[in-house]
Amino acid sequence: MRFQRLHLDDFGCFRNARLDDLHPNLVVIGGPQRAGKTTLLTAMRQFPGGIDRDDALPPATDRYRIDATVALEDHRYRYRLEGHAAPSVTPIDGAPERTAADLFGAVSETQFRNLYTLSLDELRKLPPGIDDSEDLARVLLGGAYGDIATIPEVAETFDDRADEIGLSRGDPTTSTSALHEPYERLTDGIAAREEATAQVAEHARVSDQLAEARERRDDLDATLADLDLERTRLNILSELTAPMATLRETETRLADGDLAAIEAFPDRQREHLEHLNATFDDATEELDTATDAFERERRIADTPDDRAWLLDNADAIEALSEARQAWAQTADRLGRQDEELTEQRSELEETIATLHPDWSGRFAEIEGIEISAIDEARLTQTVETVDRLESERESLESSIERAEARIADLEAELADMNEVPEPGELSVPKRKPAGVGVVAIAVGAIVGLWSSPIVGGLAGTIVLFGGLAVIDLSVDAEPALEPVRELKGRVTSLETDLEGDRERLATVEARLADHRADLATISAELGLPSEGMAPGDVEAFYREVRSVAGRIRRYRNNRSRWETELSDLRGNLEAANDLLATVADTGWDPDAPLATSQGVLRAIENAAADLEAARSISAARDRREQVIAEIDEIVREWNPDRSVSPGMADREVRATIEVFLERAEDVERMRSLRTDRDAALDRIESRFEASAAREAFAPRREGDEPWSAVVLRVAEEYPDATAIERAQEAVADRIDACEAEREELRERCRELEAKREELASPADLREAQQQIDAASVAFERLGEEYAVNRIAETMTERLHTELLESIVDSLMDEASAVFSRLTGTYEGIDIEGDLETVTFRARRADGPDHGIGELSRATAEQLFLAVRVAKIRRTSPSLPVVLDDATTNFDPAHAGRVFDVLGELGADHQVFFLTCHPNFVEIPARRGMAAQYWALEDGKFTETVDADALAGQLAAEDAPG
Amino acid sequence: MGVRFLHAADLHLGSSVRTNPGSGPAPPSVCDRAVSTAVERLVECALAEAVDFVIIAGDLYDDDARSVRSNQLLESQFARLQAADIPVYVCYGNHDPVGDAPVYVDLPDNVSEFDAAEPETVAYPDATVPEARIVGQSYRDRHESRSMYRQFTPPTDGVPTVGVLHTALDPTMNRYVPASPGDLASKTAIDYWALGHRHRRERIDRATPLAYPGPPQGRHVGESEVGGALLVTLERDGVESIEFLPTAPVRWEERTVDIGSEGIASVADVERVIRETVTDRDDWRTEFDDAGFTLADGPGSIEATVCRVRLVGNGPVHDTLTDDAETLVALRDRLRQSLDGRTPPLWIESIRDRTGPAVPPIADLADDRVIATFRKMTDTVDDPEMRATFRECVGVAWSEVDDPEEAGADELALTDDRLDALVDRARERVLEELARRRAT
Repeated sequence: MRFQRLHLDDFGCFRNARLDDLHPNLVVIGGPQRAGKTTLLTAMRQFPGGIDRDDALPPATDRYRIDATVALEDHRYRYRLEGHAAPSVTPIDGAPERTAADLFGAVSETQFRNLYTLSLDELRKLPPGIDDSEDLARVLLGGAYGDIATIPEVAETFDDRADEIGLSRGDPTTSTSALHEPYERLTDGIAAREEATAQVAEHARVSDQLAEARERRDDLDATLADLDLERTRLNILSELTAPMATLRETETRLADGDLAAIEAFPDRQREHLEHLNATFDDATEELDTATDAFERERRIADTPDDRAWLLDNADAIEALSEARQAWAQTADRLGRQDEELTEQRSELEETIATLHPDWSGRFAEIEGIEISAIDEARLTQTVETVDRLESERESLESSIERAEARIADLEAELADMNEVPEPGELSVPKRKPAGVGVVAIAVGAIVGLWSSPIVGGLAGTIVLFGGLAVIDLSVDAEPALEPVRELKGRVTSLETDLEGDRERLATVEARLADHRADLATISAELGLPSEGMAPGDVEAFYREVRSVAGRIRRYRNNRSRWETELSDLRGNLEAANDLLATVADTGWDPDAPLATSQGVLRAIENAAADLEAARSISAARDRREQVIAEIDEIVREWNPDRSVSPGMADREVRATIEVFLERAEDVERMRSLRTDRDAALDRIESRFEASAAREAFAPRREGDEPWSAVVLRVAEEYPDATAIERAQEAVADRIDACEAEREELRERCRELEAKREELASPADLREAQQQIDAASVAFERLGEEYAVNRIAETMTERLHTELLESIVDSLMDEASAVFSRLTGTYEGIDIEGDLETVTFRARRADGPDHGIGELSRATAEQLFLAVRVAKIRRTSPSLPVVLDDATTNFDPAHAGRVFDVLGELGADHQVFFLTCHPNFVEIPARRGMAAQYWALEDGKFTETVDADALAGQLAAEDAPG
Repeated sequence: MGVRFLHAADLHLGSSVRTNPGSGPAPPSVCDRAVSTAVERLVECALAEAVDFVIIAGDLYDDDARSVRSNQLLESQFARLQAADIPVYVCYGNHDPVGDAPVYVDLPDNVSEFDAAEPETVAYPDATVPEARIVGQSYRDRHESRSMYRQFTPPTDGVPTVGVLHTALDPTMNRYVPASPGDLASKTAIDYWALGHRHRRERIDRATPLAYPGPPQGRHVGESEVGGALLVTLERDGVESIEFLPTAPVRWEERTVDIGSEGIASVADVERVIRETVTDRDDWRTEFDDAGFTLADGPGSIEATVCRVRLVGNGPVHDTLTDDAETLVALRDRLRQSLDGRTPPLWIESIRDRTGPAVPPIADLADDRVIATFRKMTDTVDDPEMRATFRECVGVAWSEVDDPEEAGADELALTDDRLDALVDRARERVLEELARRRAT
């Protein structure tokens, strides 16, 4: 950063003081004492952080104001300080935004003050004369100072952490160490594991003892197993004493028998034969009884041939016997029906005779009349028409008669009324009679249609007259003339009605004559004797004829069926008679079947009874033969040489049966013996279904020998049951003794096992190992943590050393070079002490080193100037350097060298050289350095033409007076 | 005419899977017998594959004080092989040196135990018409500085020959038969080196193949590979194939959870992410690092997984995790509780906190002079002087050893690898601290 313009508007003695177009490398400002050089130095020190509130600052007249234009790289900024506010940095001409901190970079205010703005007094301050040693270190180390200075703190942090874990040595045996607890658990676990492991030898000894005890226990187990087998054998022998005795006895007895014959005997037929024997007795008795009964109760069969005939014709006789009952009933019924039919015929003939005397009861008269429903309907219609017309005629005649009478009455009444004066004539309503007439006609027509014309006419007439009567009653007699007119009207009306009735009467009579003629024609067609008969009678006669004809038809049908049945019965009885005629006289007459049927029916009944008795004999004989056949089959199965047959006498048959049954009893006895033997064997063998029994006798078994044979053979070793009992007692005693010893051994084994388990418990070993594992985790964790912190501490310390060496040593190298140039006699600068107590020594190539106190004042100032220049060179960014009479104590030669160094510094830094000595103003010019010269007087800057001018001004002011 | 045999090593019978049980749910029961089960599966493999013989290259027992149960287990399993007429060739290693080790149960006659005094050569099936020769030697003591292989001088008649040795395969490690791969490969009469001691499967191809099968069952997170044995087919002209047969019923895993991840602001978030991470299971077979072996089907499956969770990264929850040492224990127990009953079982062995405080991203401070200087200073920490300084400062709980097994049970083994890990963590700590201070 370089100043292009600096305006001190209000700062100390400066008011509107201006430095414009400043030289970028070297600006020499000359002024007498108290001209404001130190105030200018102080003002420039305010740039990094703004004007501070230090009371030692020169006061402002009004308010601190400093305004500058600075250049950084290729950009320009306006830099303003007002009051105690923070610096204001404003970009000019589109420069990028920057702050004061950006412009000063890592250079702190302290560094800027102590390195870049130096007054003679400050330069001359020597350690520890400088404010304090730390400041010096900070100034020398610059931005790295803080980091380096705190590195020991970092190391100390790690040291503290390590100390917390393992104190200074990380020794786990130290009881106050955090490592101690897991270490102690670890070592305890190791000791426990070693202890458990150490017991392994004892474990082996106990194992041997245990093995020995177990071996003896195994021997005893084997002995006990043998004794147990023997005890089982003896128990079984004792249990099987009875079956073994049975076995021996039955075997002996069976040895004498013919077992083959026993096996061959059909003893399974014994019971059957016994049953047949009883059956045979029943059959023979039954045969005798049947024979006796036949002889005693026979009806028509007198000879054996007859009995044989009966059996031969058994089916036919049975069929006749089955039909006999029905035939008897038929014959009885036909007889009764014959009587009933005969009576019916008589009644019909009488009815016919009553109906028409000329017909003499002949069925043919009736059967000659053609009867049909059409004819009957036609006749009925004609009769009804005649009846209706006659009735209408009578009604009309009566009506005409009454009308004529009424007319006469009215005319008489009219005649009476004609004598009354004209105005007093009666008024008769005319519309009412007309209405009555219409109603009467309507009623008559409806009734006529519904019933008959005659009835309709009567009904109409009744309505007419009724209505007229009512009208008449309602006629008011007043006035007198009106009634006359009314009566005349009524007469006229009656006369009209009368004329109508007369015309109707003539019509009715004509139609009546026609229908009567039709009725006569129909009667003639039917053959009815209609002459002299009223039309209603003709119809009734016809209906009676029709009824009789039906009864005749039914009679003839019944008679025909009767004759058919009689014919069938006759045929059946004829056939029965034909069959039975061989053995019986039935008295049968085909012409009088009903009368002679009983004889045939009785013969059938007798034959059926004899047939039944004959059959009983035959069945008994068959049963006997069947029984004998079955007996023969059994006897032959036993002995083919023996046999029975139906021809044999009963006693012979029975003798044969007796022999068989006696033999069967013998066989049964033998078989019982064998069963007893088998049962004994089964009991013995079943005892060996238990594995314990088989295991007990297995050692005594030879091959696949049956267990019964084994047990019998073993039993022979004992004379009797008592011997077995004694042997059982002896074995039990031995078992007790062995079990007692085994129990002792078992206890001994338990003790040894417990002891061995205690000695070499895997759980103990495992527990110890687990303790070791768990403690190892904690121990390892803490051990690692301790080690890591210690290593970190070591690393940090090493880092500190290395940083100091790399930063300070390089700085000292450069400072030494500057110092050597400045002095010309010293080779360089050495540093002593740590960061907080740093001191310098001037090193000579050919002489002893000198401490600061041993150097001349000028040389000491050159040393510090060299250190600062070196540091400035190594510090970025490049900032202006202000020297306020820093070379006052230097002789011209040394001052010249200082300007040489400043000239080189000016290549990268803008250098402000403030002085009151004219000779120092001239040095840059004499050495050909480009510079700008300003005169400072009473807080005002004036740019001078050249160095000589400025020097002249200073010399003039410095001159006495 | 060749032979087919099973090569196993480092059975460590008597030890168990370090599940680090607590007061909550019990670890999966399969873990209790996992080491024994793996050995039983080993034998099932041999029977199923009908191998000609079985070789066990040391450390059959975990401790020279051999336990009765382990002895009995081996006897019963070898008896199964005897029934199938399969011989077993055994050398003892640093964990079960011959020395004065007690023997409680004699091993069956089909077992040939190499002597500790001199190398022995046995012929399979017999010396009359040998189909293969096996040469080996057992440890006499826990530390064996003899380069035994020098004395392995079997005949060079073309019969396939196997060398059996329990060695760290490090010529500088005097405690475990110092030897280099080249040393062993120089024994041209030997066609295959069946090695033991290293607890991870490894194939080192030289003129003669050298192979470590690793343990049949890993017991801690340092043995996180699924354990098993090698099925080797050896012909007259050399090794034809080497297949890896998994036998371990328990799988070890280490899962890392970065607390600096988005969405982690509390211990509950940590718990959730851990649960999501550990339950996101995969099939180890798909990620099988063949290391020169073909993966074959083993006799059983993985029946349980034991998982260690490592919390890393920087975040606000770091302070909560470190303020109270019980926080991690409680978190572990809650996870165990919530995962209890899973099929197959999943067990959280422990949760290790490697987290740091919330700090600005270190990358953002790349221009910082102090941080840059520190990073430059610690980019490589192989300066012997610096490493020596670090070793000195780690504390007396640590024992500087070449092999973790050399450290005492009550010591922390400071191997080079372990020191590297500690230095890495310390470096992260310093960076975090510097970054944190720069941020404030």
